[in-house]
Amino acid sequence: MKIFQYEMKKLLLNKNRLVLLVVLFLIYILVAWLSSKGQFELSGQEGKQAISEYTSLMSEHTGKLDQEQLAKSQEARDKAIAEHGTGEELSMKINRDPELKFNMRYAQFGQKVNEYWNGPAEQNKADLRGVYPLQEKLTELKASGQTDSFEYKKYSSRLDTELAIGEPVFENAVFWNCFFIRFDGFMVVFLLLLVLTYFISPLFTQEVRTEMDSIVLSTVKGRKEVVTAKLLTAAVSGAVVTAVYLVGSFIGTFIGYSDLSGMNATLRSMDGFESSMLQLSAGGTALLGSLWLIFAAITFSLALAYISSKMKSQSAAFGLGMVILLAGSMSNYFSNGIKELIWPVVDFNFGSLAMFNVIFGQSKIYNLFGMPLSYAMAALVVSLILCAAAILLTYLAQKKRTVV
Amino acid sequence: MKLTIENISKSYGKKQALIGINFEMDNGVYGLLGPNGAGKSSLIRILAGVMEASSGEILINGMNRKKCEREYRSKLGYLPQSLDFYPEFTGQDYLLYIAALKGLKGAAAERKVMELAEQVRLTDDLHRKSVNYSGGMKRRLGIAQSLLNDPEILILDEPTAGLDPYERIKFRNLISLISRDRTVLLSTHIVSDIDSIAKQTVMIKVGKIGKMQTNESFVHAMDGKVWLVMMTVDKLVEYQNNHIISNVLPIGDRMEVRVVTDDKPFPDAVAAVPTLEDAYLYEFHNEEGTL
Repeated sequence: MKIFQYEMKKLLLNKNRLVLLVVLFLIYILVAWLSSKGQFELSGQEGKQAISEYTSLMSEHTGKLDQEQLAKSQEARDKAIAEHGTGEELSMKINRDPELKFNMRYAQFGQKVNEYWNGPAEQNKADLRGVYPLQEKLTELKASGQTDSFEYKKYSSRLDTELAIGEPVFENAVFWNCFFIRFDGFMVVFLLLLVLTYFISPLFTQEVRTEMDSIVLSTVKGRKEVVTAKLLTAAVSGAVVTAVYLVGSFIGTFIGYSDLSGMNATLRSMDGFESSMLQLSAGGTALLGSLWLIFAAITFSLALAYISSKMKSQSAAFGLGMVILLAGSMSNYFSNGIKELIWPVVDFNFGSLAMFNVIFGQSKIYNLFGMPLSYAMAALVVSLILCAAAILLTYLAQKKRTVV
Repeated sequence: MKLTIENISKSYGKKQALIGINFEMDNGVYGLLGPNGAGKSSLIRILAGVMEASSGEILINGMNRKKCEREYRSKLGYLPQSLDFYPEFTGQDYLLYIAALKGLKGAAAERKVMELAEQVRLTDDLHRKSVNYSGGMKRRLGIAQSLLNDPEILILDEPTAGLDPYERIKFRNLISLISRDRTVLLSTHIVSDIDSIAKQTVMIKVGKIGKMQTNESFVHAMDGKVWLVMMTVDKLVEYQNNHIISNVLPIGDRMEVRVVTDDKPFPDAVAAVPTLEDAYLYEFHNEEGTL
């Protein structure tokens, strides 16, 4: 415990790092505030009025799909597109007109309900969506006696979940939609994981820099207990920095929007979670998302601890950590052909593992020896394997470490 | 505690740093004397368990160290040649951290830290950041950490580097005091560090060591090989190029030169009482690049 306390002091609980943490906290608030403020391209009283009007319209129409309102909204949307096209001009118009913004959103909601029943317009034949297409496919598979097949199990499970979740409901959840942007890959990689790389990289390398490794390695607790303390320090530091990121983002979003409505809205009604299989409210999802992000940050921190244990300098550890992080994240931007070839890297790199909205927002299923395995479950298993491997390899590295 | 070094060799690629080192130590201070680059630090690191030997073994009371690694480290105190400190730590933090690594707990650790800080005269500076200490203070802090666990085996690599003469004497006295019931190996290229306190000394040059002997034996072997000669400065300039000169003392317009040589160098040369430093110079003067 004492060793852990001192390791924490070396890595996080010292004046320089705490000042840096406070600065980061302020940056996180600022970024989230600016992002949520960007709901409307209006400032001052006009901006506040626009948000208020928009919020009222959203609240007035919460509930199941109203066909009459949908027709009105579609008409307003089509009129706006006819007048302003689909480009920049339309975006500007939407960001200045709360009523049009609402109508666009309601029309989009109508599309979501339609997709819930009929699936997306461009249906992926290998991965069907929508209640009716699923029912049809299951009937077809049943008729051909394939009820034991992976495909039947997958679609049967998906249909059950779809029916249990039910048809999307319109909700005023603008705050939560803004907050969930904080879980986006780009935000997480650049605002959180890169920062973590900087924080964790000196974990072992500072022993080399200060030439303290000779003394540490010669002590009775210098091969095993010190590793336990350092790994714990990396995990706690990862969790603390992530908590700072989440709290800062929450406060910044709240300052920008000042309305927590929609906490009980279903996850399906949130942007980007239309295909999610989670039966959670927006508030519950925010909590789960936060816990997941902390877990993903801990996984990454433990991997960084191992990298640090193998490097001679902090800059080398930071550089390698950054390369692994960015190379993995960049794989998401490859062509589909390459992505299919290197799918384990694409789906389970550290950037992807931290992307809660992708992992829990998609209905992606893996075939594990004939059993359907959800992306969330697969990501959890892979993360746990990565944690265990990082821990074991770090112990091994310290056991074999020598000073030259 | 009996520490036996058996046939230890170490190579870095093609370069042989240590070649078949053998010696034995029990309680008392032992000196490891040799010029820079002779292999002292490699041997010290192997003994401290922070470097692997290419071959050979170290025995603790007859048992291979690898079989009692943890026990060995619990009995070991080590001061490496160069050492820096964590920028966030005060002197006290540093000592308490090392105490924790050495398995000392709570009040016992704090008591030991205060006791050693007193011995190395750092009590008043314990709450200062250790990176801001002077070179001598850093060295004293390093010495204090090596003693935290009351080690039965104490390995010190160039411990007096950066210490002023007073601190050096205090250090020697401290080592003499604690060496009664433990094994101390003191590696240095400063002969005076071990001249008065080492029970036995072993000299190391280009990876090979000589016989472990008492300092008296080294000095005794130099009888009749140290001479005092008076000569002019011009003569000295010419003479020192191919002779071992251990000291030069100006007397009037001439120089009293201390010459280390097998034969009487001049008819008027006067025999001098040899010292360990003379023995060191005699031992190493032919080593290319070492003197």
